[in-house]
Amino acid sequence: MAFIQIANQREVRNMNQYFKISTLIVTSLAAVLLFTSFEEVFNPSPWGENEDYLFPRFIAGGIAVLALLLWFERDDKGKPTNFMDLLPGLGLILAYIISMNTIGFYMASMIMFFAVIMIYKKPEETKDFWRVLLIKLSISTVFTLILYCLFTLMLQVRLPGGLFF
Amino acid sequence: MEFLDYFSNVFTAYHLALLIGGTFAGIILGALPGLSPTMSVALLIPFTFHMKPESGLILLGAMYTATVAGGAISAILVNVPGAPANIATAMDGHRMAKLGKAKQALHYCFISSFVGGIFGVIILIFFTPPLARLSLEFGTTELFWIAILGITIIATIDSKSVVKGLLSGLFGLMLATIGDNPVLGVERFVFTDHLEGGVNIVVGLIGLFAMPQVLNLMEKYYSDKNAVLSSKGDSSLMQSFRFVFGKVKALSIGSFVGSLIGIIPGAGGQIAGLVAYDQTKKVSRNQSNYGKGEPEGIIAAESANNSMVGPSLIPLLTLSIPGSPTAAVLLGGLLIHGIFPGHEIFVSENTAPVVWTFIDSLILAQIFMLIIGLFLSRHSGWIMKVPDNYMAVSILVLAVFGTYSIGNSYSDVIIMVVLGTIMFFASKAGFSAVPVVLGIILGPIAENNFLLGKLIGGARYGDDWMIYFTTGTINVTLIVICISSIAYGLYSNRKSKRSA
Amino acid sequence: MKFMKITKIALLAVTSLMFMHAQADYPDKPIGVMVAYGPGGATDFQARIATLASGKEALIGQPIYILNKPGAGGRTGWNWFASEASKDGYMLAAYNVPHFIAQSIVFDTAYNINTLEPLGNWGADPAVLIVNKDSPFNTVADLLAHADANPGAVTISGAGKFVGHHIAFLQFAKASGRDLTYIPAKGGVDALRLVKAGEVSAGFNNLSDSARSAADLKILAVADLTRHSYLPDVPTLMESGVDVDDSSVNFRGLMVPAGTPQDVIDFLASKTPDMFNDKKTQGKMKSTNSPARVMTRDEVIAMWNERQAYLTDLLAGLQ
Repeated sequence: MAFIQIANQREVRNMNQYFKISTLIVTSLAAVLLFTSFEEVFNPSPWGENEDYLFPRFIAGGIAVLALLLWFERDDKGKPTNFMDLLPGLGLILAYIISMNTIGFYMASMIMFFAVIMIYKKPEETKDFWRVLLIKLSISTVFTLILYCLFTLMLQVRLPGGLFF
Repeated sequence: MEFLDYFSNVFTAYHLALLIGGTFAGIILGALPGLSPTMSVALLIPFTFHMKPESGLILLGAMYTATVAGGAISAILVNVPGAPANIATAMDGHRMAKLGKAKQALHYCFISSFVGGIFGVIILIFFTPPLARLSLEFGTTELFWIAILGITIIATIDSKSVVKGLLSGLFGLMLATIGDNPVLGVERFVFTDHLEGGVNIVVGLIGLFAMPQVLNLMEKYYSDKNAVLSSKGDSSLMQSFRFVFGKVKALSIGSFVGSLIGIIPGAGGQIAGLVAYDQTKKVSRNQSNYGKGEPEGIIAAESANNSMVGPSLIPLLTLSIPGSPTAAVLLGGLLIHGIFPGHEIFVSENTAPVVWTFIDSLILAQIFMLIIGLFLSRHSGWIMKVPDNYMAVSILVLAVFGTYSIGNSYSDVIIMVVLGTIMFFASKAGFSAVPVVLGIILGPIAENNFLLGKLIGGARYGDDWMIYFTTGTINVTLIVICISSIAYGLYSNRKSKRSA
Repeated sequence: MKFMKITKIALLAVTSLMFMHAQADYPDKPIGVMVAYGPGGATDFQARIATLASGKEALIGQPIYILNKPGAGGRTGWNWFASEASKDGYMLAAYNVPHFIAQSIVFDTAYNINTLEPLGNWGADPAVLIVNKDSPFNTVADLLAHADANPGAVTISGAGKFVGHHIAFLQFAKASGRDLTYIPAKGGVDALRLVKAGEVSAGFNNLSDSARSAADLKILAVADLTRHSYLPDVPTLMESGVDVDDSSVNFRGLMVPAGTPQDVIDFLASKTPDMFNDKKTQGKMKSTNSPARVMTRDEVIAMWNERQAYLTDLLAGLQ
């Protein structure tokens, strides 16, 4: 916990920097968009005359102008990101999305549910490890079963299949 | 008074059971983050396949009415609007909930939904013939100006900085150009196969609202005190009724704007809530409260959402032109039963009983929606007490389910997660999700109608195709509204800056 | 003699047992049909009606469920079908000709007529030339006369590019030799709205949808080889003096991806026409105003090949 707090303090100090980074990202995004929307001019389509990229070009132009104005915006400094607490979650989400296609939606959801409530827990939950584990495992199972009854049995939605379901 | 003759058809045990069941299920499905009204009605169509036409339609109508209102529950309680229509509700509703007034917010929401809904059905019953003609007047160029009108509210809605608001909106417009464009017959910005289908509006909505909420709950899990919110100023149901009916201005603007947008083909109730919200805000005396938990915002948005339902059936039933995406799915439901839309649908011997029974059931659906909704609001406090870790993962799983089931597409899930993660970090730098969604909704309407209008104008007037966009009563009216909307926005922006 | 007879019977029994075995194996679970358009659309509900009878023991013997994969004018669904769907006969798809053939020529798609195997055809929805009920045009000749006087000013709407309506327009413009403007709307409903609101001079649209809206429209001609039973008084384009054949007719049917075992294809191909011809199914097709035309696998293969050759030619002229 102390570790996280140190990280937080550092983030606070970097707030201004964070804002500059976002402005930099928006500006480069504008440049990329502007470039791609004009790509057509360099590689004309075989289908001849067209206005295919007229609208995107207009929007990209608008984004570019606003990105420049953004450098003069001073009233909003932005909020820091607590990466320490966020990263495990982001990793789990990535694993969840990837595994969904192979082990099936319900299996992946159950594991995801269990993993999130096991990893994100309050200090007082760590005392009786096996008991907590068992309770959380059953909550995950019940949650998944409810989803299965609602979506697959009642609404007859087809979800990515895999193991068990 | 023909509609009175068919009420007896609704009052059979079977039909009442369908109505109550459909309304209840609709509110629940609507309240699940990720399940939009269009989705819910689409899921139900196969079930109505084996029913009698009027039974099937009663179920679909109850579903349509209830999901639109149900979407407000998740908007208020977890800040994840169930449908694009509920975005405006989330802006003030969730902040009210955070102030400990979740129950009041839900009360206001269902009562104003009821008022708007009844208003909409009355419009449908009494004014169908003239409004069907009016609905045809909204052609290509008119739809273009409506999209522009929507874009004018982007800059000031839900963000402190005009530059950032516009940037978010333009980002949404850009997202909307990805993928196939039927008017141009090309695919644009398809860097990977996943993007071929483009960014679906509801996929964008789920990504932009649900994902940041999930990541927020995870990030703040240890630092936030996860305080159980005590409800303050616990007002009774009677007080809520009195309060809502006291807000005549918000209610009437909401119902009127909602009905009007409902009859415009294709524009859809998606923007009804936001436009009504913006208009009410502009004429309101306590403008600065909007976005901070102003009940008027909820009342305007929700009455608009539900008043859109009835009128969106006017072009559908008479001209076979749906007035909203959900109405488009309903069209399939009608055709399956051999009920063919047309001017004679209300008088023909075969269709009149079915259609009038359907319309009568919509009135009852509003009443059941109100009763069930108010009942559920009393018992939905526990959602606010769900621990953050459980809440985060539940929203995530439902969001993935909702996204996948829209097009049975894994690519949509990837788009949703990536978009949501970007939005999470962007919101740290002061960008808002509302203008992005507005951009995704309005982008195709603006672009496609501009291109079509240019083609038609070009064929009519040659190089002076602009004439096509600037003539006609509705076009001129819309242009004037656009200009005054921008002018008023600038004026009030300056005024508020000076006073600050 | 007796021995011969016994062997004959034994052989027969063995072969029939083997045959029954093959049938008993497939299908043993519900079969999916991927529809590349959203729920509630014409292709979607027609597919639901056409496959209603699949559960009958004499037919496929298993229920069929619909899986919607809409997006990019159908390309999202068909791309998925050709590249990722299982090739074991448990995932079929609905096809729309000429849409998917035209798309496979114009776009870089995972599918074309060689990577797909048709099973049978259930419906054929010809494009019709329509004008607003208040329009001054009453015949195709009126419309063409107006086009002569005002080159480029005649606008004709249709449901987007490279679909049946667009093909019909291209053929019509080519055969009549007039300078016409195509207005590609976003979907058939929008194209119909443009005509009903009088924004365009005329439109190509589905026969089924146009016949339903008879009160708001005048139907000038059918883009097919023969007149249609729903509209016996409406002439074909050929009768009206414009040489347009049936290449734009929207055929709908079922297919599997190439690579599916031949015996599965043969089994399904032998059953699908009977399934489409089921009495209840045909009755429902009629009551929903969906024009039916049942064709066998061989007929569909011939039709696909013909369209492929013709469309390659027609669309090449666009470049």
